[in-house]
Amino acid sequence: MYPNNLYMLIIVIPYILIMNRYKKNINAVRLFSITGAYLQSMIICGLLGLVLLVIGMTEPIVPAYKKTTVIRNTSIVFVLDVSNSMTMKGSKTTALDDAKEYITRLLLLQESKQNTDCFYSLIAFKGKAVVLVPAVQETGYIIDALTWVQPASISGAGSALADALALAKSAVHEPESAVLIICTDGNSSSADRELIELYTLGIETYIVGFGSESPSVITNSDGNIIRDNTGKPIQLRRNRQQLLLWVKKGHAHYCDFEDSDSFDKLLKEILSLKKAQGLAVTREKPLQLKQFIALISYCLLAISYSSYLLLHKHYMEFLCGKD
Amino acid sequence: MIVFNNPEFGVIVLLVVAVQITMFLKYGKRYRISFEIYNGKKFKNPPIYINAIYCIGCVLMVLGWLLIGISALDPVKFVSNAKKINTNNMILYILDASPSMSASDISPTRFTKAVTLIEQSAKSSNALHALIAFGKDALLVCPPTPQTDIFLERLHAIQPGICGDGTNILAALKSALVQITTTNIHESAIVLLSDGEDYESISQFSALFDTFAIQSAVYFAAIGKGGDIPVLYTDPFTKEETTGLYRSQFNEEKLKSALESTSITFFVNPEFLDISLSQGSETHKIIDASMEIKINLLPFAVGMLLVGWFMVFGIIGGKI
Repeated sequence: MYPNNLYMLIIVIPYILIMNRYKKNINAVRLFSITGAYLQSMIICGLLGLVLLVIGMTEPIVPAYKKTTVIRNTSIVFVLDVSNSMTMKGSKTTALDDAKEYITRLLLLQESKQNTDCFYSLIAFKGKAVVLVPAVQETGYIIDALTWVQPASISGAGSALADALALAKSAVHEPESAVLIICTDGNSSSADRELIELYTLGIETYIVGFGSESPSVITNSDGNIIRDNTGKPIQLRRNRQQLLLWVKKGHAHYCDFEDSDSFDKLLKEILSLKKAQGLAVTREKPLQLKQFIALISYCLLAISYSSYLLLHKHYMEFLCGKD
Repeated sequence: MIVFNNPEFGVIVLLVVAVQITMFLKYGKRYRISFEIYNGKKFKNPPIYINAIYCIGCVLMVLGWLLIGISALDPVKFVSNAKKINTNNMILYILDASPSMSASDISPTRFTKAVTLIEQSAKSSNALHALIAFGKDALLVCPPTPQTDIFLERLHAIQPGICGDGTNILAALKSALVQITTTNIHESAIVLLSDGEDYESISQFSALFDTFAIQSAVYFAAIGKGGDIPVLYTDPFTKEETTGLYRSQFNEEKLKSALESTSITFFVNPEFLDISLSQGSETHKIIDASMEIKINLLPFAVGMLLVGWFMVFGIIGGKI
């Protein structure tokens, strides 16, 4: 999942060169005929171990692995973008108001249909991320916080989605029983790594896009229109392209806030999770391979060392015989 | 505390270590020879630095290899005292943040002592924690949560005077009782930490409990001493410092008699908060996940292994 780490495979080249020289040195003392098999086994197992370790460092996963888990301590985490860009035009007033209304509606509907205990958290982000409401069992705290949170509630400009996702991770008790709902306009800095991490943990992530389709002006915390260096008002719109890119990278689900079908789908997901509390459910979740790869690599390196020891033994026998 | 998510792999890891040690004892230790090959050249008595490089390289390789085995077990570190939280229990702390709590009759100050008591209690208890701070007004600082780290973060953000100049214990207690009635938590305790300099409110506690008819256990930890006390108060908004002598209205006997008609457990300057709640069943317990940190040993292990390997095979050319 971190393919950038594959560049480390370059280590194979010095490995082959150095081990080749080592092989030549053994040949120089005319041992190869006796120890050839051990030498080959040592070099090949070492090489395989090394390659597997590099692959392991990319933290690969099997994307749709059927896993049975007991659903418990369901967490529903809302990540709300309160950056200045969310002051862009929404369906009625601003995109932020739409997001607040969306979360409130979702909370009230899911509670009225399935009143099982569950943990709700609310994290807001702008220039930094803040836990507005830590994990609580009552939706009222979230709804209450939504009534007052504004871009001015968090100081500093920017859009720290990555920090918000890191906080969201800590609000989840059982990743496989958690739903993360990110409400944003897509005008944030990238958070690919965090999204991938949430996916590998098994958290279902929904990204809900807010904001107008056509560009509109945005305001700062004082309500003044934000302008660029030339004095022209900055105009933003929902960055669906960016949102879909995040969805793809983080294996998440995308919803437009005005799309009632995707709202129902999200509501259904929350309800099914709450209904399944205490039950063993088979769901498709990612399976992390890093630990398995590390174990195989560990065994291969052990075989490599065993071959080295046997090589040593035969060499000593050869020397003793010569003496 | 470090725990392993894949403890079953430990059997394989230990088995492989046992095999390697056996093989080393059988084939590796019997012979003591000098280096035969060094960059393609043979020599019998290598200099000390060559021996040192070889030994360090071997140690790094072995450590790196062992760390790879450990990383297969998926180690996780629990920060401080990670614990299981009982979601059926709650402790609601009511912290007096009035300016009089800046008095230093209790070392270092009444307020710091109260914060320390709450912190100790929150760390040792396995209930959900909530916090209300009060001065002139009462403020819900943290709703009932299993996230101890967030609770403590918010606790430490409170300063004397932040809820206004005054002490309105009744408003805070009312707010706490409202919180308890709106939650579905089965068993709860209210812990009030104050210098108690609001006797009028305290005398109305009984009537308040009758109105709410709540079964929660209530504790009152009185913090302070009487007399003239030096005080250093920093206004949290203007940052203006006020120093001088403060005539404390703290009166232990008066507090005791005011609380006599209630079922409140009363402490005076306690060293710790002794709050008893039932343990509840395992099904209502969750791990405080905010305390869990994944330990990614693999890059470190690979680094060690490669450096060791390069020292032994790259620099020395391999011992044989």
